[in-house]
Amino acid sequence: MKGRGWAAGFLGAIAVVALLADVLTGDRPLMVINEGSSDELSIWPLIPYEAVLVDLSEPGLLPPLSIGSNGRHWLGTDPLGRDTAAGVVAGTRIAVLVGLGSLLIALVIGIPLGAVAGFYGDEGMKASRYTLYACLLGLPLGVIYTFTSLGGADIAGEWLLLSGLLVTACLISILWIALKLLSKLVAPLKVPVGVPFDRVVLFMLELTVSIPRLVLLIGLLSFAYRPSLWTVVLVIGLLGWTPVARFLRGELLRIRELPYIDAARIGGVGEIRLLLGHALPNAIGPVAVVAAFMVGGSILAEAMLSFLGLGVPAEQVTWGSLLQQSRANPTAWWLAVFPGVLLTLTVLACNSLRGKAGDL
Amino acid sequence: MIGPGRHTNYLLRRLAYLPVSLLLLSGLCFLIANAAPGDPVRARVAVAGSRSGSQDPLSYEISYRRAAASLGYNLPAFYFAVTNAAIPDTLHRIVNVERRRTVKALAQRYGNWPQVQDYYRAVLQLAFYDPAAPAELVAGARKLLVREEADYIARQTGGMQGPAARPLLVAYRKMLAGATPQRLLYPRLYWYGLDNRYHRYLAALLRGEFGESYADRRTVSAKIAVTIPPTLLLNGLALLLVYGISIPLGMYMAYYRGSRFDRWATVLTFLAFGIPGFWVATLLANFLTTPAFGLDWFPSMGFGRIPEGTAFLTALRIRGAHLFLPVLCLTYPSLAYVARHLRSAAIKELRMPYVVTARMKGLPGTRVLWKHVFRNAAFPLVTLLGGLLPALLAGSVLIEQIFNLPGMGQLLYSSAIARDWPVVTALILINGLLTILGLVIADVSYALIDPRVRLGKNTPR
Repeated sequence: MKGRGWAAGFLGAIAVVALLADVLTGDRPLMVINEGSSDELSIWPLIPYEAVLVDLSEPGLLPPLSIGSNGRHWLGTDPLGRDTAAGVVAGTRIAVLVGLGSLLIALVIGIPLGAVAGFYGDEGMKASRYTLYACLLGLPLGVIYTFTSLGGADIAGEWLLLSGLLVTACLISILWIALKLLSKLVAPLKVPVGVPFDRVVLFMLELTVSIPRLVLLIGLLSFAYRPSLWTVVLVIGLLGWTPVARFLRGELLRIRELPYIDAARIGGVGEIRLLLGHALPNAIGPVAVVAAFMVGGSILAEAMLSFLGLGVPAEQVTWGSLLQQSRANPTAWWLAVFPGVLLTLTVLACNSLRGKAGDL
Repeated sequence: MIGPGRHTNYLLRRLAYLPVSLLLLSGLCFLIANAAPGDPVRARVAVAGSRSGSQDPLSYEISYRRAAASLGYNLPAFYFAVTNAAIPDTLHRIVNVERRRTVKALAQRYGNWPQVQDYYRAVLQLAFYDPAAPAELVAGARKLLVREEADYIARQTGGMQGPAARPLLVAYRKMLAGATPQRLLYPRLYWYGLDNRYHRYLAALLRGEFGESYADRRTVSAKIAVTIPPTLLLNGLALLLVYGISIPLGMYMAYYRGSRFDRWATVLTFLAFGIPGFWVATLLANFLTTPAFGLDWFPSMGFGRIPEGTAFLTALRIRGAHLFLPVLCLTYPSLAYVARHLRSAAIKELRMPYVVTARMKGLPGTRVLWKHVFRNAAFPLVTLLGGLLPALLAGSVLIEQIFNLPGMGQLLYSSAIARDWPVVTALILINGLLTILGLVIADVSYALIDPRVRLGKNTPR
């Protein structure tokens, strides 16, 4: 599908709808001018129904374009009298939330890992052995101590985090000083070695990729008594950072061979500034495209989960839950068609953005 | 030929990921099973037909403890435990989850384990083992067993009077007086050895025992084994169709690049890749399997029962009618994906000089395509296979649910809804195992096919 314009425009429209969901739907007027007087003017939302508003006064399952108690049901209703159009708008909001939320988490994890693995590799960043050992020992010990000892005391969450960070930092510093003093006697400790960023990140990649995402989500969500959308967002984000990291790593592997990086290095730019200021800005562009693909995937995953009835509370309406309702009422084709069309268009838009990179 | 050193090294490294990933996955499943709400010991006691706790608490206690011991719940959770000095190494012997939580909170607040232990023992004694105690004291003691808030305990013990309550009050005051909360800050490492729950879980897994289902006490392996053939048939057919159709499609799309066929095929594969499989499945199931619109062409339920002795063609027709729609919905997204990948790989190959040379030598175009270009363009197909298997399995969860096929996906869903943890964790483990296997096979095959990979040269991967 050519024409990148339509995809970006469509996704922008989706985001706008999600943002303005409360203005677009609702069963109360938005504004009433000259209330009480004879020329009272009330401004209603575009879809004069609330998504979760159950309307048992009419028989349920009204087809599209039928008149309801508040106005026309443009896309029909479900068995409980909830307006489908309002439900589609509510579903849009949830889709945008899930898509952007999991994207944020995946980027926060994937970009640093991919950048460091690609640019420094296994030999790029050098540190003396005592520094490495101090960090490797200090970090896990500090974290463990935070959870076992500090976690047992009755302190609030933020203080726990703060004190944990403090303890970990102190531990690493003490170990560093001790090992540095020891290195005066034991010579091998002073040797600068390459920090194996690439190996560690590749290992983490392999492990994360081997976790079955949907199956794990089904298992996790079913045992939470109060299903929450944030669990879905968190798990999708935690498992979805791999394509971002892989792609960024590949890009940086290519970029670090370019002459301008060497020129900057000779000019005296430090390694970290080299990565952040010189290499990363060039590599980020294509990553945005991979990220767009990930958004489509997570919206699809959320739709699958709510289709199965997991992940969102029962009364919340999403595209997937509307599809599930259509299974019980096959004659109500509007419940199956409209949310599905919207879902399809969203996924196609995300795919087409990715396709522009020439990958697919 | 280069000696065995370099490429066996690569293969061994790839294969080493398998046990590591499996170990981590089993640990994850163990964590999920442990963190799941609900008390399996209670479920077992209820099923065993013991009298409920409200009628005869003492004998319920005894049977609870016996059931816990037989299930191994009085063992520590892991090979070792890292805690603070306020918590003893024998905390796991308290099997009841709520009581353990209470005792742990008390120990962490006051820090003096012996006094906390005496206090709790006094509470237990008053709650169950003192027949002469007045009823309200017994009731109060039973409440104290599971409440750990300091002001609640103070209120409750303040209201207790009488000789029966004296040991409890004395122990409570000793616990408060001798509090050493600073012990919380010292770390402790307790070593438990092989006798722990995780080791038993792992050993059972390696033997192939997944435990018993909570729902109907059948073994989990029996329940899963029944569902494997339908899922295998569904996914196997889908895999065959995906590769069978997408290979010629992708290659010819590349060969006739730019033609009307290619343009149409590109648009169609783009749409097929984007349109969600489960939506199409829902639409097809709604319209074609129910009499709602009069198009009741396909059966809606299950797998199709084939009576004994039917002719092969009839059996095929019945099976085919049931499987046609599910396989269609499962196949078309992956088909589009593989075809497009193959097309782009083949286009790259077709530009290479060796193709021009072959054509100039007089070889017909299709022969060049299939004998030479295909072998080079097929490399990504192997790696795609690794990702295809978990995608198909995940997809079949929804497809089986929609078309009512009694497969592994349907079992996962129904067990998850029924909170049947042994089955759910076993299925997660099996799915993870198949995912890892798929990835490892893909990587190893890729290394075997492409000598450049295992010799460490740059590959166009």
